[in-house]
Amino acid sequence: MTIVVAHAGHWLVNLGYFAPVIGFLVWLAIVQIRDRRRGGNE
Amino acid sequence: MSGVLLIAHGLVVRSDLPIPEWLFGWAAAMVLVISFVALAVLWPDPRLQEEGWRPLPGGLGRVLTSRPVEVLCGAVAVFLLGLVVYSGFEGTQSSTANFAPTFVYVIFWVGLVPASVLFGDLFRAFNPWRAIGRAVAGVAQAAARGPIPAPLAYPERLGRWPAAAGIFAFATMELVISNGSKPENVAIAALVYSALTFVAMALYGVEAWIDRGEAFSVYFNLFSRISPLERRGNRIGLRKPLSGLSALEPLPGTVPLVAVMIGSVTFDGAAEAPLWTNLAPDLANFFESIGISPEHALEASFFVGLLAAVLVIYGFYRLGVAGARTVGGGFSSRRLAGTFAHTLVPIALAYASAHYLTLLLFQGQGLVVLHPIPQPGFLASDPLGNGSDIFGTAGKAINFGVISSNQTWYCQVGFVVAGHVAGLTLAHDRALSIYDRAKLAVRSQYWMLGVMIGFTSLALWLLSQANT
Repeated sequence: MTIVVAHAGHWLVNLGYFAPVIGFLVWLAIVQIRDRRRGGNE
Repeated sequence: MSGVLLIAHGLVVRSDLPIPEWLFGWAAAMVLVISFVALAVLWPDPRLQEEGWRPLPGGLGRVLTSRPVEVLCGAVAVFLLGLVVYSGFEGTQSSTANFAPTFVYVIFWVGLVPASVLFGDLFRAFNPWRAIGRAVAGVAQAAARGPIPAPLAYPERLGRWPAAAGIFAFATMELVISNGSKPENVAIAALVYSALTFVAMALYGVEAWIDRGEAFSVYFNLFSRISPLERRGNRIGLRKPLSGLSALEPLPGTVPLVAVMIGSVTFDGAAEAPLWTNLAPDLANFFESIGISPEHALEASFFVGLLAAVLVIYGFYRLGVAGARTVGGGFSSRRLAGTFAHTLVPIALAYASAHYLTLLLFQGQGLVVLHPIPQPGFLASDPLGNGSDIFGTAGKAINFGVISSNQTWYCQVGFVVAGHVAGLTLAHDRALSIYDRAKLAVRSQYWMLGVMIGFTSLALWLLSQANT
């Protein structure tokens, strides 16, 4: 665990590149759930 | 693993970018989202499904497609193939001082990609195997004094699978085999590939094999479909850029082929990342522990890495397709995957252009120098590396100042963004043509947008790893 924290700067930068993908997936999940609820109500 | 490639990949040192590199990824994702919204609003009808081809005015097209020009191009191609084989066997075995590796891995493999995008299917004219096959068929026909037996019908189920296998084999030679850039090995590979191609052309006919099975013909043809220039019969004409891709027949093996194209570049970039350099020794140790020699254990680990990269790309695309299927429309996953396969070609172009930019600009000078005046490079003057000086340029060195590290990075980001916007545009246009409701078409493209953002982020991360 210590090693992971010590090198956090490295992998956090790497994570920075993929933040848009994560953000998009979250948005897509919200849209899907909203559409399903609307479908269920209709 | 090849020595030639390592030289160029270690050169990108960026020091004074105005924002952190990862923020370029965010900006690129924003550009894609804005493009997506703009397409949904401003592009309501399919526009790329018809190519709108019109012949070029004047007689230039007829001259370029004339028999003498065709024979000349074929002769040049056969000469270059012969020179690769001859210099590979007879020249120095230093990969950087011999014509064969630089010609095959830089000028042919990388340089022909932008040339195909700009000028159309050049490789069809400069394909040595096609030229030899057609010449042999012509001679056989003349000797038989009549028609020769018809070739076998090309099996439909093979589709583009032989091309996918061929490109994967080439990537293995380039990235996995430890002596893949040794001139002698390049010559042997060229001879083996030539023999296989001749057998296949004898079985299925020259044009049938060139169109679907011959790996490099299919590979460069895919990129040439981005070009506004296309040859039809003995005319050369203009069409809408990208529209050639919309006309791509979704044959079996097309998605795996494009996955190999993107996956091999992905692995080449990832091989420089700490993620891989930390993992590879453990993998190699595992292969050693099951009795494989140390050299082959490292090759086996690289092979696993290459295969994994291709499978990740393939899997990510199929995930996007599976998502698009959930919006309805009644399409099967297989049909959707084939229908949108052409949208991956601009992404393959973006990956190749961005990743191999410095390789082409620096190592390419071994054969062609463009600045300040175009002239042959040192390998053209001394192809065997034995001290000859045919054009008086054997003493020239590579000028690493033709592009700065920051300019390289901006070009790479530009290529990546442009390629993915092109892919998004193609996907949007195709969706409009296959879904009967525009709302379904746009919703299906949420998933393709996800695929494009994913590939963009991956591409920029890979490029950033070049100097980690």
